[in-house]
Amino acid sequence: MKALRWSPSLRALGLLAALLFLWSAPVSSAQPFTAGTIITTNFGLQNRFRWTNDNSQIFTPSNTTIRLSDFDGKIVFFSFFDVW
Amino acid sequence: MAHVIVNMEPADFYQGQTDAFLAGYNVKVCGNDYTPTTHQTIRNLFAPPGTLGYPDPRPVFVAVNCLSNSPSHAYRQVLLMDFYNGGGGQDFSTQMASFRNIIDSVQAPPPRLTNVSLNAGTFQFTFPGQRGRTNRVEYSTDYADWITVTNVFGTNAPITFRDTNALENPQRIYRVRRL
Repeated sequence: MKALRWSPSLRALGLLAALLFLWSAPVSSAQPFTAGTIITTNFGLQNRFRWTNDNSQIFTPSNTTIRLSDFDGKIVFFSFFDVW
Repeated sequence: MAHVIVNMEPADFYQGQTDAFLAGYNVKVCGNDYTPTTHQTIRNLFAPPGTLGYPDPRPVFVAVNCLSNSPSHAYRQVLLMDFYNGGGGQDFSTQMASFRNIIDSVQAPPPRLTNVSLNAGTFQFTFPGQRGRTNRVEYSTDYADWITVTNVFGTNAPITFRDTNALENPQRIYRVRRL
């Protein structure tokens, strides 16, 4: 079988095409979590007021962070309002 | 189940307006996703603008299973992620009924008692733990009045309860309640 030989000009053209492809490729970003997927980050949000959960764990007032792990043992339902 | 209401408005803008709107429905805002250092970080984990057909989807509803050993769903599995491009006075009661069905489909592991034994005056049994949940061991002598023996805050590991004075208590009925 005859090996394919690229001339220097063809190689330069190929390199240019590859660079153009990489430049035009979309920036890779994490896929959003959709129904059925597993959340891989222990995300947190800023707490607004003092409250406790059923185990009497106290979440301190504002400017503290509630993390997803704080809801272990429960189903947590988030409602995000006014996102614009 | 825990319900967390997240206000997406900046503090110096319409945050108060959104708080007041939700308070009109007796709902208290629990968290912010718009702080001096973060901006819609959590929303973007689920519904980043532009990727779902809308430049800025709103509102967004997400339910996550945080039962660590549920026999029906994986730990931290997203049960539902839904968003609407509506606002104002839109009625979400139909969607909420659908959400409830999805959430109710999650099964919790039963706290069955196993390995029950009585040896050398020690009575013991084992039951499964569950991360984030408290298991309350109670006993009764008449099936009517139940007395708390101990509370065990669960991990996923099995929990073994021992009564070392079993022979001094000839009749006791034990049960475990998951709180």
